[in-house]
Amino acid sequence: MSAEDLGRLLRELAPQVLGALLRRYHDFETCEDALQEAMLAATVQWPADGVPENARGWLVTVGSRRVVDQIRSERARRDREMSSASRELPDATVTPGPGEGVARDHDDTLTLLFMCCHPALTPASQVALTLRAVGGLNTAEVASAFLVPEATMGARISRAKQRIRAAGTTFDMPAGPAYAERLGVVLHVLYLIFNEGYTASSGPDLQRPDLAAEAVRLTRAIHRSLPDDGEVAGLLALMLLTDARRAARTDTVGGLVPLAEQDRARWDSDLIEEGTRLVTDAMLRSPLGPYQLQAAIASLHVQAPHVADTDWRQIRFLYQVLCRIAPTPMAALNHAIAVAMTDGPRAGLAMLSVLAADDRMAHHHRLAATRAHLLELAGDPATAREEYLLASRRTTSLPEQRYLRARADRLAEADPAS
Amino acid sequence: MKFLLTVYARAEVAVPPPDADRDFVAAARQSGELIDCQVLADPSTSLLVRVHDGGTSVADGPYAGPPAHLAACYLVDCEDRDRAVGLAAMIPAARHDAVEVRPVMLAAGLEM
Repeated sequence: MSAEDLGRLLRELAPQVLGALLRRYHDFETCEDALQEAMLAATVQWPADGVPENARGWLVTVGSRRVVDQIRSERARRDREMSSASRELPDATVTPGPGEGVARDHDDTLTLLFMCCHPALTPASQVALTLRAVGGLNTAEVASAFLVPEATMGARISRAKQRIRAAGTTFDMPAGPAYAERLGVVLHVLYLIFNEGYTASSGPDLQRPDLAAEAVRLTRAIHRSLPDDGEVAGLLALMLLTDARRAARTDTVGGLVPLAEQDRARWDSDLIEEGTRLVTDAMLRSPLGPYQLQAAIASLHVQAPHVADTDWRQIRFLYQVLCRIAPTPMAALNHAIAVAMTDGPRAGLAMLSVLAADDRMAHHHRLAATRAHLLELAGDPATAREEYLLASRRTTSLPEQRYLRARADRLAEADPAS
Repeated sequence: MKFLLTVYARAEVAVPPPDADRDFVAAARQSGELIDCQVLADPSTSLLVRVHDGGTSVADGPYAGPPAHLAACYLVDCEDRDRAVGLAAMIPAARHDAVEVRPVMLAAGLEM
């Protein structure tokens, strides 16, 4: 078994093993540490001895021993300190209890995601903890995914676990309205993980875990548990349809290629087909939501054989609905672009001037970049160039900055007077 | 998001950054936000390097004279700009003068 296959197998088993440990020992912090130690033991022993027949059981056994060791040493410490403690050790038996079979595995993944996305944590901590406890990545891998030192990520993860313990979280699903609210957080966290992976710069970096693939894998797992949830299906579809463009969105030197200029032959037709089927099906069967709408828009973009065939009228309609049910400045910006494509750039620019009054958007580089693009379409290269330069000063992304400067330079060449 | 928090010191400020910023460093480290923390030596020890016509010249620094010199810089990775401002406010220099908060460029981006 290759190191890559072994890693994949371990990540697949991670939430099942952690679920089994939590049902027995309850303490999230101890169980999660034990899972990491069991996985580490497996990466050392399995390549030499072969993968055990019951790999999951092996990991649960090793993890259980670690938990018990931990409880013993903590008890010894307490005994030394107070010399009075006598606490019953939980049974370290490794035979699965009733209802601990494989059928619960998907639900375990979901329950763990709900725990890691606890509202007491910041989004960055929810993301880090999800990748470690549910995704089965180790601290070094999570750290390298976010380009921070391992010590920084280690501190963030242990702070997150302390907060979860302090909040008294148990290994259960929240009920009632809390359920829907938490599912929303879970989907947002998976969306953040996907975006972090999707925006990662040029080409595959072998040292950096593929976060986009990781987010897709976890979202697929939730979709299997909740096949009738339209927003789960919508998010999965959005990820697949966005990922379908991955190969075409950077050029050979790592520069960004805008959607309109991408080589459509390089888009992944299997992902497009699967994503489109998922979102179409979800929209027919379940209440409309923002992820479904964004997936439907992404689907319309990638279904056009040429950029000129893009169904802007339909895209415009979907953005209009999105702005009504989940209004965000970014949705409004995209709505303005769609209006510009159907009614002309001046109509889009008029909508942008309304958006400029929004504090969240006024100084955003995307507003300036969009204004620049629409001014260029409207035949005002001099002002367009100024806006491209303004946007290039405001962005904090190097590839975006290079792209925006190149657009500005192109206009300067076309119009040397400016 | 990553930000560089830079602390400028005026000659008359008595407490140097390593001691003055202890609480900030402890808090940012514990929360898993501190990436790097560097306190700079006295500006009188800095050198200015220039290369002209293939020759290298070295002169005494600092690059910018008074009123203030760069005293320390902290690289943090935090949720957003508001949080970076919150962290900067924990640095005592923010009380006498100002701490500069500046985003660090990313090597990644989204296509337009």
